[in-house]
Amino acid sequence: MTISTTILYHEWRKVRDGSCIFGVLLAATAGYAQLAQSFYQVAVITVTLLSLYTVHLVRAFTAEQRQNQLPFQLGLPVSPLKTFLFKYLPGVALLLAGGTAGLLVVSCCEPVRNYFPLTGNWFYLSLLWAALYAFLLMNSQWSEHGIAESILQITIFAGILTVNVLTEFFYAICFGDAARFCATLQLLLILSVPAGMIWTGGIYRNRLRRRLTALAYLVLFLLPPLQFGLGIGINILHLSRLEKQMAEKGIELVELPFGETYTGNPNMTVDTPEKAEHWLNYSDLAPVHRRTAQVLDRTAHHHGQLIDLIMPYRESGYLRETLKAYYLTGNETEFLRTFNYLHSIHFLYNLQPEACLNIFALPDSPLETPAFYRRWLELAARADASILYNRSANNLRAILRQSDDGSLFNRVHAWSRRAWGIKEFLKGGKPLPGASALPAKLIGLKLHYLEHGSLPETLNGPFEYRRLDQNTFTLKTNQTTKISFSAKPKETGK
Amino acid sequence: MSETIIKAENIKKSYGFKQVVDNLNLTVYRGNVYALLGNNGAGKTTTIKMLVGQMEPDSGIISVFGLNPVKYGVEVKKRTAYVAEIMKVYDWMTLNDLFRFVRSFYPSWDEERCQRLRKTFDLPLDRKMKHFSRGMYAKGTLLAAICREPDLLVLDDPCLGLDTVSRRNFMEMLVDSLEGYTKTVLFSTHLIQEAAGLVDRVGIINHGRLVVEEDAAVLQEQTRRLLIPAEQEKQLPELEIIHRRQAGSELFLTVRGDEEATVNQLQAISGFNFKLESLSLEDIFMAYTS
Repeated sequence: MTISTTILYHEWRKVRDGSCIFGVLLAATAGYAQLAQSFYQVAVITVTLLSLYTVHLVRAFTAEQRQNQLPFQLGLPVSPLKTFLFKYLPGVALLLAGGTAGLLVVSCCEPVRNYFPLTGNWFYLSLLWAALYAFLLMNSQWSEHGIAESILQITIFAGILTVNVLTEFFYAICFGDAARFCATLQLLLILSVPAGMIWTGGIYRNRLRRRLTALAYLVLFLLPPLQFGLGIGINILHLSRLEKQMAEKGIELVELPFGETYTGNPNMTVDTPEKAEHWLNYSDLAPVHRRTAQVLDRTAHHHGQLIDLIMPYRESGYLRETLKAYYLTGNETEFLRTFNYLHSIHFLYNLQPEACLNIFALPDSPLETPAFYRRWLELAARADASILYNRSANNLRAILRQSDDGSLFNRVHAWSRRAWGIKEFLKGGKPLPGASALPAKLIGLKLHYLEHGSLPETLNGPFEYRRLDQNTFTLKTNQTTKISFSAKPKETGK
Repeated sequence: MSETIIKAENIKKSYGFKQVVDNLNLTVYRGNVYALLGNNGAGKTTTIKMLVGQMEPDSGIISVFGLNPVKYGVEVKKRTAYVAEIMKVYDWMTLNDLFRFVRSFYPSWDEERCQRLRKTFDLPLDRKMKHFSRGMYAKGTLLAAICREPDLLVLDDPCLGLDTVSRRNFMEMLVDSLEGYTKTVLFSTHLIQEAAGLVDRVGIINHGRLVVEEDAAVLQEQTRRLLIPAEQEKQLPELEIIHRRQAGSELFLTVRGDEEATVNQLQAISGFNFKLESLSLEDIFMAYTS
């Protein structure tokens, strides 16, 4: 036994509280990274945290030295610097390595990522890792409380995580839009784990701490079922409100023209009729009956969770490609149904139907007729009126600039989901002036182009419209959104 | 005189405004068992911490094996074993773990001696330190220190907190364990009686100052109690009086000097009644610190 092993395993309990705080802060940073998607800020915060933690360690160390505590009291022939390195840095390194390993495992391993269907984001697993390591650091007082006690604690912790993950899993299958609610709660859960564990160290010291520890465990045990129950409540509340709103706005809920099981590549870009055929063939078009928005909502999650095995927002990309596939194969009926569905589903998911307008960039289609666009316009106008939630102009711009693989769209959507949160969702968002009218205007432009062979000179509405030539235009909303593309279909060389 | 192991010159240490060690000079020679005696709060622990390099003096010079114990801490600690006044080791360790742990730092570890002493003192190897009684704990930590075969063994009040029986047992054990031990030992205590049989050299510290430092035998030989009637005090010749106490008509004086010379001086005074008694180390200590 050397000083490194001895001190490594049995001395850092003196800074366990600090380690826990650090773990919590690390977890919070990861959460912040997810919210802000600003890695510069995250880097600054992480460096700050590390600095603070280092200061904390040095202070703890010098205090021990001054007070002649272990291991100094043993008078071992080891320099203070070496003792410090042995004593603290392995713990810090382990904490960071654990977090990094967690991130790598989750980001590189698809099955692992898929196992967290609801959160579906590797940041969450990193939070789990951070919490776990903070917990392990605290349990360096094994020697104090005995192995059995520590095993018990770890078992409890593992049990909590398992229950939580299973709850999330079934929740994700059975219910839909409470995803963001669950994610928020899960974040709280994860943050509360190390916080609760801080008290563990005092489990034998005084009654208050012991009771608080018990309470922390109780909360951790109860949180997943509570989450589940609350989620159901929120979902029902939300959906009944939604149904009412949809009825008021005249939204028609239709059956999806495609099935629930999809084996194709969701990232495939449908931009030719051949690809469209392939797409639809692999989409396994088993019809699904959806009588209510709740069912519709659930189905949407089926697509997101079971079909794509990815986050629900991917489903919108899937639908968009399906929409394009119908367009390219000339299936007007299904196109319009899907378009309507997209409005509905996007309405549910706080998405914009503008994403569908990428269809402008598609090559020639059998549906490139004035009649089709007139019908589409009719439908779009009706759907637009029902849009309650709009993202910011920046997001809209990002969506409109997205590449067809949907990656940017997904990122933006992920951001949006977190940013809005369940509270915003419940109290209702504010429509962005002009944005909701955009699809109709664009479709109107397309209609004008098809009817007259050129773009109009002017365009009414809250837009800054400029015709550049017969085929191209720029359109700017009263926010910062600017669209610039050609109404003329692309050449495909088919 | 043999080689100097520890030398402290004019060391001072204060905690805030409180001067704990004040111009202390101390010398420990190779092979000596040096007892640093002092009351509680006299500055023994602070002095020892400075001597073993765990604390820096505010001023003064300390050398251990000719080295600054702070600057050359690792080198000094390699040759030194230190048992703090309330020694704490890793409580989760069994005695065997403790020995194994400490042994890894000291190539000179004497396993045979360790096992022999352990059996003598009846210490269980497989019991955790936290389950040891205070006396067993003290014995265990002392063994871990002694068996390193250090050139310098420093014990800071090793009997602190022990009851009378345990204290006696511990000191007997210390005597046994130091039998045949040729290295240097510095220990502090305020329990003089228990230490008396061990000591080669004594330093008495009082209010942060070393008031006497002498070979124990010489100190005992040269320090006597002089009993005289109080009215004869005026007739006393010039003596080095350390302590004076009057009880009724009798005067008790602790005097320092050559016994024969003192007796001759006193007998030279006509009609002078006196009685000269030898003193225990504890009495001497009391005289110096009262």
